[in-house]
Amino acid sequence: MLDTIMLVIYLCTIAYLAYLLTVMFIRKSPLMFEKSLIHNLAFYTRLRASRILFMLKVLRTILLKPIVLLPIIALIIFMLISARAAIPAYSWYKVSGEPFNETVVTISFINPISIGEGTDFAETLIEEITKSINVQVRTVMPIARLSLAKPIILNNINRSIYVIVALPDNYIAKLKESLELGMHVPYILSCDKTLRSNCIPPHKLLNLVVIDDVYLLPVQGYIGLKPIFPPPGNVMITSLNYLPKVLGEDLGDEVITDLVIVYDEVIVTDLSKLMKQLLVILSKYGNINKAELVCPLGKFLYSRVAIPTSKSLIVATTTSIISIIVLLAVLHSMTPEIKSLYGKLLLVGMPQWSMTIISSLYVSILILLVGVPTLIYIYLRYGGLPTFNSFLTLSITWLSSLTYMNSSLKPKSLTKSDVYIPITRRYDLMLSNGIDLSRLENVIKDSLKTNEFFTIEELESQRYPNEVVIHARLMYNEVWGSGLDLNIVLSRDEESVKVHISSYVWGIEEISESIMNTMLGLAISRIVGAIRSCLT
Amino acid sequence: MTLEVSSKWHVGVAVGIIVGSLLGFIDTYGYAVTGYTTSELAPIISAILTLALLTLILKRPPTIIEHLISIVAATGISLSTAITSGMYITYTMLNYIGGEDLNLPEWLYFKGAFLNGTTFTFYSYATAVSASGIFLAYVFHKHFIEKERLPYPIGLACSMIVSMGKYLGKPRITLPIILGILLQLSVLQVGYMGIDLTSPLQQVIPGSSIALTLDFFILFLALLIPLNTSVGIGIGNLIMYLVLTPLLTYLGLMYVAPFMKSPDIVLEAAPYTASIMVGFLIVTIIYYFISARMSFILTFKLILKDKALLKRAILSLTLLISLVIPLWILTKPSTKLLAFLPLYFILHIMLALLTIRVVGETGTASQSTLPLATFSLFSLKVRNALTYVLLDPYTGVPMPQFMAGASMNIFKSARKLGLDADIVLPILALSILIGAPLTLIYGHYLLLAYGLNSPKLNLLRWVPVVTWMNIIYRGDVSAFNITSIIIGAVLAFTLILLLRITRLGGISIYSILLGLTLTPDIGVIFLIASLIKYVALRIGFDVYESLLTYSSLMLAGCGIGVIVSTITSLVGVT
Repeated sequence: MLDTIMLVIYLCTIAYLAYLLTVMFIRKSPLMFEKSLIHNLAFYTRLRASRILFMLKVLRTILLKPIVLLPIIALIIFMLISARAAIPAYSWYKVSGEPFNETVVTISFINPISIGEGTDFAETLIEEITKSINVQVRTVMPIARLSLAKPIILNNINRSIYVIVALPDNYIAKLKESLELGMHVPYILSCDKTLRSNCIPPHKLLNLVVIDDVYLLPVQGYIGLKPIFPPPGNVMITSLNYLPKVLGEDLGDEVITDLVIVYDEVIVTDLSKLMKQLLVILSKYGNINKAELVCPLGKFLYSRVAIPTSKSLIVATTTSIISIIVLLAVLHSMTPEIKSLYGKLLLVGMPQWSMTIISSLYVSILILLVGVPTLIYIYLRYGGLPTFNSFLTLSITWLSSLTYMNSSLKPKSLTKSDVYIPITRRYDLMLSNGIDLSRLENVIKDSLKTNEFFTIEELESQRYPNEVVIHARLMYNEVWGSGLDLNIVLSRDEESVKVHISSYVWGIEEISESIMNTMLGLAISRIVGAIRSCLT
Repeated sequence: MTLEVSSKWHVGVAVGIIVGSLLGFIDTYGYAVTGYTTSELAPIISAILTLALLTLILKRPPTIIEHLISIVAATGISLSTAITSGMYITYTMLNYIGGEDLNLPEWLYFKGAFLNGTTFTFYSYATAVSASGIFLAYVFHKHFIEKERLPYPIGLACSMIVSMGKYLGKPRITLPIILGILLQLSVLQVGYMGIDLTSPLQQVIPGSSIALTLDFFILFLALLIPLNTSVGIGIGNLIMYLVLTPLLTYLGLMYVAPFMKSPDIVLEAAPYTASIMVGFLIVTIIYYFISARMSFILTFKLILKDKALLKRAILSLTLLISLVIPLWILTKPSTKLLAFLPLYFILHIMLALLTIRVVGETGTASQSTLPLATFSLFSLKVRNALTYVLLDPYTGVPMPQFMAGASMNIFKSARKLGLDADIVLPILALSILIGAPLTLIYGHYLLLAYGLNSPKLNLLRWVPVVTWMNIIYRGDVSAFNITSIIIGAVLAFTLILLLRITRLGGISIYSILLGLTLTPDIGVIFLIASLIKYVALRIGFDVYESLLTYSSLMLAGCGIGVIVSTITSLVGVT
């Protein structure tokens, strides 16, 4: 019943659309509306190279000065000082204050390590800690939590395994015992309905923990505060010894992804020492992705991200200030020359804003050409944190120089004495009375139609006894989605004919002042010119 | 000059169907296996593919009408993948991973080699309901294109490529396309390329995230979008990941660890960002319809006077309301839900109009407007999956809003090139409807060919999506968060006030809305694109125009790059 209803609705919609389409084509109604020039959309792919080349030439002139070497050398030196002063600091990040009965450290590695390496690492860690603190380790458990890009297909139960969690034999034996599974079972899966000797319900599998808050399954992420686990149906839990049989040739030596270290009872005063000691050891070892400590003080995460100490930040700021002073001194000495060049360029018609672009490019190129290679060198030579410090120096120097250059070269504001005539949006003409309004209307319409810079979208006029109103919407051919609306009123009184032109520039994009002025100039001057030619 | 029907329009339709069938398959395969989909960019990609095929068949460059008709037909088939194969695969994964106690009907997902008849009729019917969005877009196309003067960047890019068709053989056109293909292929080959500052930031501002991924698709799209919109998207994104997620962390709603990367923050914040969007949308939608009420009143008057428009509006409503029939038969809805349905359908239409508005500025709304519909059903205590499947455009099958937004890009493109929307409407809607069974078959046979045990079908990738849907369908109280909804509403209200008072360079609330939903690595790309556009605009409009032109071509190249990569992957597997 429902199938039929849905099918009928679907077919009826198709039939209606087919009908619409047929009618459209049978009638041979015009498919395209009138838009005379739109098919020849102006296609300008030429860059107006002259303006860019012009700016680049000016830039080259001011960049190739020997004095520029001074800030270059200063910047390199201060960036290096800043880098050398960087001292990293690692820390524990408190996740919750809820106390735990046991003290457990779980360490996750970025790249899996071999069982031997895991044991060595654990031994070193224990040895280093026991040197200064009196704590005893109860258990060290290596775990392999492997997410497979290529799943294993278990043909006997038609299932693909994406995640394998492998544990030491003794732990697996305890786990099987607690889950009441047969001891001969090589691996544990989850099953919904089929009762097998190696199956447990999905929710049980998801809730398995190594100890207290440490889940057995890898956490894929969190949605809100809920951890996301892989689908239990695609997970296998097995022993580390059985792993070669499961993975076969795909198994490398490096399988251990996590190491769980359980301590005997640790007194609270020793805990802070233990945390500090752990930080020192972990920071020496680069392959740590995540380390988690649960203890009577709460739950902590080891932050692998080294942050600069306040001392190194002070050095970075100081070096920035000194390099700014050197750079500004050089820039200041060059300002009169650049200003004089600027004055000459204005005379040959370069717009004011291009000087801002030139000065910004000047400072940015100078700093980037020096700064980026130095930063790369520092990164390769000293690592991430020193690079951060140098980057700080570079950024502060760049921002200050940019602000100084742009403000010192800013043109003076125009005063009353300057002769500056902005292009008008309104234009009024007073003509002698002898001219015929309809002739004037035709002349204006012709001038609009023949204006090659615009495409007419709308052109309409209304005649009254002593007045003609013309409205036009013009699309500017050189910029997509821009144009202007023109309203032209021609009115006759006893003595004269008045022409009033008003315009409104619009664009789907923001329009710069220069484009707006160009459009206004091109539209209004053509109309005024046409009217004048009509008078002569 | 008025052009009559082209004598070769049928060639255009045939080529459109061929290209659309290919694109539909690639979209389906990409979605199922590699995670890439190009259906929203189909107008741009099909513009290049149809042009090549038409030139080959006609032995001359196609006329604008031939070219456009083929693009419309191809895009229609490609768009249907979002409704049919896309959702078919999603529900198959939901059933597989989410567990059978969700009680999804068997005809909704892949269940063995035989494609159920009900599956066919349901997905075809759902596509017809989604097509109501196209009718709605047609009814309002003049309102949005002419009155609101929205640019519809994807439509604009498509029209640019069509108008440049005759230059296709020339190096200045071919080179950017090839460069786009190479850039996209290199990104796909190398994998993740970017900087993620999220981990170090956790020490300074817990819960914040900043990243930058080299995504050429987004970069070229951002270059096509108007400057203010691009800035708005960037600002929205910064607000989300530098202000809101730290605030959520401060309030104890989120748990952050120092080693977290930006995807971890995005995933963890998902229920809260959806809730923030709900609050934000409630205020924005009210603001939009109040501020544009006069022009909407005029449009409604026009619709009432124009019989053709009225007919299509009624058809659109009828298709939407027809959802009551399967809802009644399949779920026996409560009286409360039935009483609410008229309001819910009005909300559907309002969301469709808001989506068209957002797409108008940004090119794609990326489902940013739809959480409000999900929240409405959730707050009505709808706790069965099938009701969401039928009524929710966010997690369900019929998506009139998606179709409305995507089709408006086509209307804009056609209008820019002078083709009447009357002819675009039936071709687009027909190709979507005819494409629906075809793309459903693609989805079914891909699942049949690969099965759920294929190494290509990475189940772990689906876990977050499915977990999120599971939480909603089961009515878990953590699906939406009241505090976050209030934060979203306050933010929208503040921003609207701020934007109105300061008139910040014409930045609109709708671009900020989209920015809030994007991942942190993408938001920064929009800010970089804004800077490039600003400099280009200052240098000169000729440079600016060239930037737009080359961005369109390179965007098309990137789309073709994804297709090439998908085909290579397919050949490698089979």
